[in-house]
Amino acid sequence: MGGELRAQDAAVGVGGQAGTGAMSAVGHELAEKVGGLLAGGEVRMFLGYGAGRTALRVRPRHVLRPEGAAGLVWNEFCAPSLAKYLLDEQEEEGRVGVLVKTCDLRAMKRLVADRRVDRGRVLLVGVGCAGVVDAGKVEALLVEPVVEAGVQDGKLVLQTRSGVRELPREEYLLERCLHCEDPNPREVDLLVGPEVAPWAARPRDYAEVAEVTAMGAAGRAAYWDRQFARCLRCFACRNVCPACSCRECSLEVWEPMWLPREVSVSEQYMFHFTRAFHVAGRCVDCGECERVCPVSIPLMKLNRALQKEIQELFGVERPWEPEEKEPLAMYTPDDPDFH
Amino acid sequence: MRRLERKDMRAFLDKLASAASLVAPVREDGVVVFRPVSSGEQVVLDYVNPVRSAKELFFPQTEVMFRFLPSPVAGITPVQPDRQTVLFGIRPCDLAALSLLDEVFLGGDYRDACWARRRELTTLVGMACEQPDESSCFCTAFGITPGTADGADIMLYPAGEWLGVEVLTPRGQALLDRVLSDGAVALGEIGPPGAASQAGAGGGAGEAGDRLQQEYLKRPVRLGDRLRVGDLAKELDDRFDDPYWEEASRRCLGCGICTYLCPTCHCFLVTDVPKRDDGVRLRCWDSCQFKDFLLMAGGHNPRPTKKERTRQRFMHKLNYFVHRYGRYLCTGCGRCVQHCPVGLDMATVIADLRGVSEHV
Amino acid sequence: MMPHLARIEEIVAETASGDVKTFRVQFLDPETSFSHLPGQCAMVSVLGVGEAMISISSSPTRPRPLELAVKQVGRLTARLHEMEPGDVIGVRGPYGNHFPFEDMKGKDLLFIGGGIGLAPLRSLINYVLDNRGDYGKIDIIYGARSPGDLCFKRELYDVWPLAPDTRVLLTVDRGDEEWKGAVALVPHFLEQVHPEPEGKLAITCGPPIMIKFTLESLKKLGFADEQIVTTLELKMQCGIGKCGRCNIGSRYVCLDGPVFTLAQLETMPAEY
Repeated sequence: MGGELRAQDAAVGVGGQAGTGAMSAVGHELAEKVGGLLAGGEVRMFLGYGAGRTALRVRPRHVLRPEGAAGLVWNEFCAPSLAKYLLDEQEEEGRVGVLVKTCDLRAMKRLVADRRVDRGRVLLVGVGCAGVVDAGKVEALLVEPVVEAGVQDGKLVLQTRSGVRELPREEYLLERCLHCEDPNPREVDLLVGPEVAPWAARPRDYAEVAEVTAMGAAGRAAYWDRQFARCLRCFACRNVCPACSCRECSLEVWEPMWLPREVSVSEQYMFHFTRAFHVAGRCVDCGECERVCPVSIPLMKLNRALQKEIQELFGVERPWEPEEKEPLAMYTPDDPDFH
Repeated sequence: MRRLERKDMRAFLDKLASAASLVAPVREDGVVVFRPVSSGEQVVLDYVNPVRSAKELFFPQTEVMFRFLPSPVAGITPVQPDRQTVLFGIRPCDLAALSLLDEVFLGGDYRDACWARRRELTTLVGMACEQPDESSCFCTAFGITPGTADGADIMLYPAGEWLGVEVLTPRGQALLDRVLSDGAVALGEIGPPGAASQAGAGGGAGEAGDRLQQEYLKRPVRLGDRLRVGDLAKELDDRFDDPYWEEASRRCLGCGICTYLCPTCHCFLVTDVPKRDDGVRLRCWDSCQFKDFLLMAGGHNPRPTKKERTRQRFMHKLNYFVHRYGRYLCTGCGRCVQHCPVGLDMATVIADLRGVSEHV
Repeated sequence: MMPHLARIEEIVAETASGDVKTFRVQFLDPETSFSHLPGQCAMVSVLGVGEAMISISSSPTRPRPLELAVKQVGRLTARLHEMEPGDVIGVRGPYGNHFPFEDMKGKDLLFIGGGIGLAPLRSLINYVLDNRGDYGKIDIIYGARSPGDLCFKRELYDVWPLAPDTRVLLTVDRGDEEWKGAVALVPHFLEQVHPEPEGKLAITCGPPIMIKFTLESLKKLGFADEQIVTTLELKMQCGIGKCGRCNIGSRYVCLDGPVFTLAQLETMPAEY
């Protein structure tokens, strides 16, 4: 555990060097390049981030005109994956540009592998990312809005009306960032910003899965009963998921009605397990489902449990990589279970 | 107004729990939600607002309306709640939301029996907001304040070591009488110890209570103060075709977070669940943000894209509802502000529509 | 939102294919039966399947039994169509506004129906014929895809044309070897008939696409927006303005509709 923490400290150091100043410089470079892409007609739209209501929040921003590019930002709060918006753009002609971090690139590749997005009609602008801060975690500590935020010497520095507050950045990063194997997206069409030095990512040790497994059958049932009892069935987890891209979701079909609107313990299991199994072997481990869940259901524990099974059962080393083989979606005659 | 010592709060809650089935904010896996509780121990007091609103106590996400036997036998047996409940800790925004939903469910020619019954059975103990969340709360945009007690049976006003207790209705008085009946919890007079005697000279406990209440009624809520809606409803009469709707809707995920967390959203669908010999008719929450919300049997969909659905949500709350009921269908509770993953929330949209800054 | 039980007494197949059937129903408890006005609707339950809003096709002047003409389009109507006399359904209502039969007094009436759209019009037509003296000349223009798809044939051929000052003008999209009448889409046929707008009120109901072009044709013929009455249909769940589904702007089709004049529609968002 101690070793892992040190590895993480190293990562924070890198992030600290990237710092706010450097990141806003990336923002300027991005705005300039995107403005050029739009003006030159290379893309008809660009998907990036714009400023949100407080310094901790950004919003997805669809830029349609060159002058709109000036509103683009890049900072340590750019969490939302933008890849899935491409589904809305498949009908219209012309290329769409999108800003991708490494994790977003996996989402993008997922959509391409599932033949939902045509890679040829997307212009990928990659950005090196030293880790994204979980705004929700920070907000839970504060009642005052954050006016300015940045990173200095590995610390998250938050300016509120009544003063400055410093937080250890590593404790407030999104969980996915702790496992980031390469902070610099590869195979993109264009890069902005400097290369971010890689850090020793924390290996996926499935401790969170083991924790639930250790509860035993009855304990696990009680645990998930409680989690699912909070579920609103708002479908945010599904809608944000790059592996959930069916044109018509089977859970929305009325005949046959696989999932009644009834919110009961059994229907909640039906929903969450169907979803988890549907993305098993295709989940890109981005954690967006868990991040957007308004009632904090630890959905990644389900996804990780399946990831672990796929690793162990089928020997897939990195099941979150869309380029890896998909044992649940393929067939070989030498399958030992084939009779 | 009288005074409840904070140290007596647990005992007070224990008494509430023994007087009726008590629902109160609890912290569960780090999330605050309203839950049935059996003792004061379970209740949290350091909360801004439960993430799921109070509406579900009166309009459950799934509600059995009646049991039926299908044709040819055919029979219908209504299912009605019968439990006396106390809801503790409801905030002014959710109280206001209940009164808005009263307009929908009890107003007009058709009274909704399920809603009416649950309203009758529930005593509301409101809690004034000591510390609204400045990043998301915006009740004052709609004329609600951290101290607005309208709709509560009893209202509590935290004041450091104690809480002001104001009884607003006979139902509230009846509950309080039961809580205090065995003398285990007692309420005092407002003012510092010994102030009761000074009260005569200094204007009395009544005045001190009024001051506490006034202080809550005037407490600033920065985001709300900035977003006061004014004539927005009227302005929106001409903005159905505003390009803003398409522009803003692009970032919508089409999920139901906003509508399901909202204390005033009340769209539902009706569905039958047949069992072997009988069945139940349910009404379940639905969301205008879902693409099949208005999809008709023949395949026609009057709101086919995110643009129409986004516009529907905001126009309904800021314009259509005002035309129908004379009030805005939003209480500034801030749940959508806090939880919309893409910042397409009520505060943002009001700010955009009014051309004011939402930054506080 | 509690339905009342009603027994199906008789089922009449209206069309050759049987995709439209009229259900004649009586309430099990006569106390629960209701009186309606022409144009109003009822929520019909098939217990175990659900509920749907159905327009009442019988006239208030002939209150028993209640008649509901239903086209098979979805899950609920499919199950309803499988039912037999003696089966029990749920009915609640009446819901919605009604055709402005008071304002229509003394005027000539032009009914324009398409397919199952004749069902609500039939309620009004029979109401008007039962109060014949109050109204002027009556023209009923009615069309369907094919001769077999025409509903309420007995009335179309043997009842309405015999009423004083009443014409029934039929058209089909595609004829057959026996069809001797007009072959034209309803809006085109309407233009051929060429009714004069003066002193007239046009009342139209049919599939959305037919209504759209019929409204255009009526305007072309010189009808003012105030002279055109139509009905709207949106998905409904409660029928009483609570479920939030059938709004068009600030109006609910279930409460403020389904009957609207074109003048009213012009002031509403075109979201239906």
